[in-house]
Amino acid sequence: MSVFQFRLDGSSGVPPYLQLVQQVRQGLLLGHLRSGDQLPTVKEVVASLAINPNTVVKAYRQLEHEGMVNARPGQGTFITASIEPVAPGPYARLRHSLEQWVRDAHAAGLDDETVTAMFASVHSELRTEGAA
Amino acid sequence: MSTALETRDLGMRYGRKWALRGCSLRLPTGSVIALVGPNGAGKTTLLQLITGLLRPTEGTVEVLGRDARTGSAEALAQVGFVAQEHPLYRGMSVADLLRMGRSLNLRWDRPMAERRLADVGIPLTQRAGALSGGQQAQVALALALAKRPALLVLDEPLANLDPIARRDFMRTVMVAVAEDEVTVLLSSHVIADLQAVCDQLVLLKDGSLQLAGAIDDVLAGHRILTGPRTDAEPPVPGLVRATHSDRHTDLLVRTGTDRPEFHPAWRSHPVGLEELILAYLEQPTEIAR
Amino acid sequence: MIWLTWRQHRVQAFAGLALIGLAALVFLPYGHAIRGAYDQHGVGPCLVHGTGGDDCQSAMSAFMSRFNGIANHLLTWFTPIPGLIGAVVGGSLLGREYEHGTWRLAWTQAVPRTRWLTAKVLLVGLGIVTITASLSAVFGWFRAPIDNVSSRFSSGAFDLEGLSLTGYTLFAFAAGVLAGQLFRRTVPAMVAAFAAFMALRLPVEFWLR
Repeated sequence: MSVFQFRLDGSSGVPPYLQLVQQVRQGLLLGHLRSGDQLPTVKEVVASLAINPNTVVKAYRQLEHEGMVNARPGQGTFITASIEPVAPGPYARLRHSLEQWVRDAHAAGLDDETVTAMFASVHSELRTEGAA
Repeated sequence: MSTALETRDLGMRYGRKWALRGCSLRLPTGSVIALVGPNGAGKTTLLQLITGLLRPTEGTVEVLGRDARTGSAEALAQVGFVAQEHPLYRGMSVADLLRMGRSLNLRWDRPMAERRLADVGIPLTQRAGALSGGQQAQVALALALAKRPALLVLDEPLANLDPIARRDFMRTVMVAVAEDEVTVLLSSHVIADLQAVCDQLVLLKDGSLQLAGAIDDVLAGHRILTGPRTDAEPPVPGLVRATHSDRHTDLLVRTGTDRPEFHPAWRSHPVGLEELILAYLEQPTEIAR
Repeated sequence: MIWLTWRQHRVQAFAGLALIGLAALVFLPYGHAIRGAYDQHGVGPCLVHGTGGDDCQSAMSAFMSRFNGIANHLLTWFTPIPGLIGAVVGGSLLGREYEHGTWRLAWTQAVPRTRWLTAKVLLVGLGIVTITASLSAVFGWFRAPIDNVSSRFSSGAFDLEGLSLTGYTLFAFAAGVLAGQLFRRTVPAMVAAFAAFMALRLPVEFWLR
C-alpha cells in the first residue's frame, strides 16, 4: 500500500496530468508527503484511476522537472522534497496581500461569489497558460 | 515516434453515398486515440476499414506499415477488435471462447486472458449469454487482448455500460496500455469519459475529418474570445464557431501554434476539451476548413 | 477451424444422428417384415428364373400390393428431409453470424474470411454427406426387395436412395449459405433455401422423369 493516493475529478476541466501534479504539490504543502516517500508506480495509478499511463508519465516527468521527485530506475519515483511546506515568511506575506486584495474587492462592492469567481477565473487562466 | 496507423485519402461508398471520404491520418504508436463524432459520422466505417472487415472504395490503410486491405492473416493478427455491443457466441462458455481464439489465431496468450478474467471475477465455466453486459464487454476485451495485438480497436466500448462497468472496462484497457504498450483507438460519442484516457483526438463529421492531433496540441491551438455582442460575422481568421448571448459573443478560434494578438475588446481564454469538441460538432460543416 | 466448426454445428450434428436413429427405428423392423414376406412369397426365385409364370406374377403382385403402397407412403414423409437439413444448416451458417453480430468477432481473428468460409462449408458439407449417405443407406436397404421387383426410378424411391438424397441436401445447403449472405438473417435464409429446394424438387418430380 502506497503512502499516497491520487484522485481524479472528471468535471473540473483541469487536465488530468495537471491534477496529479497539483495533488503532489498540495500533499507536500500540507505535509502529507515527505522527503523519501515513494509515489505509486505508473501501473498502480493506472489501475486505481483507469487513467492513460502516458498521462501519469507526463505528470511524473513534470514533477521531476520541477525538482519535487526523483525517478530511480527499477525502484520507483521518490519525493525529494525540494518544496518544504511554505516557509513562515513568504506564507505571512502572501496571506497579507491576499487579505488586502479581498478588502479592496469588498470596498469596490463585489460580493463573495464574485470574489471567488474572479479568483478562480484568474487562477485557471494562469494555470492553463503555464501548462500549454 | 513511430506510426501505428496511417490512412491516405481513405474513402468508403455505400451505393451513391460516401460514408467516409478523403480521410488521411497518421497516429503514433503507444497512444490512446479518441475517435469522436455524432452518430452516422463514419466512425464505425473507419474502424471496420482499419480492422479489415470492410474494403475501402478508395485510398489506403496501413497498420504498422502493413496493408490492412488485404485481410491477410498477418494483417488480422496485429489488430484486436471489440465491435459495438461486444458480440460473443452466447451459447459458448468463456472457456470455449478462449479455445476458439486459440484455434483462430497465430499468437494466443491464454494465461494472460485467464488472469484478466480472474481479476474481474468472471468464471471460465460461465455461458457467455448468462453474463451481464459489463462482463460480456470484459470477455470480448480479453479475447481481443489475448491476440497480443499492436493496435486495439474499440467501437463504442462504453455505450450500454453502467458507470462501474465503464470504469472497470477502461481500467483493463489502460493497464494493457501500460503493460503491453498496445496502441488504442476507441470511438465514442460520450465525451466526458475521454479526457483521462485519451491523448490523441480524431474528430469526424458527415464522413469527413474535421480535426486530428495530440489533445494537448489541439487545445493549445484554440482560444475562446469573449467580447461585446456582434451580429455580423466577426472577421477573425480561423473562426470555428460563434455563439451569441444578449450582451456578449463567444468565438472559438483556431490559432495554431502561434498566439496572435486580438483586438483589445476581445478577452482570450483557453478552451476545454469537451467545449472544443462540442463546438466542432455543432458548427455547420462548410466552415470546417 | 475444425474445433470451432464442430462446436458451432454439434447440435445440428446430433440432430442428424438422431434422425438416422429415428429412420433406423422405423425402417429396420418393417424392412425385416418385408424381407420375410419376400422370401415367403418366393419373389426372389421368380426374379432369377424369369417372371413369365402365372404363379410368379400373382406372387409378385401380391407382394407389391401388400408393401409398395405403404412403403412409398412411409418414405413420402421423408421427402422434404433434404430440403430441411440443407436449409437449416446452410441458412444458419452465415445468417446466424450476421443476425447476432458475431461476424465481426469471427472475421477479426487471424483467419482470413475466405479461408474461414471455405473451411466451414467443406467441413459442414462433409458432415451432411456422412449423415445423408447413412440415411439413404437405410432407405435403400429398406426398399431393396421392392426395388428388385419394380425399379429404382419409381418416384419416391429415386429421391431418397443413392446419391440423390445427398445431392438435394447439398443443393439446399448451398442455397442456404447464399441466402444467409443475402438476407443476413437466419429464418428468412432458411425459408428461402427451402423454397429453392422445392422449386428444384417439384419440376424434377413431375416433369423431368
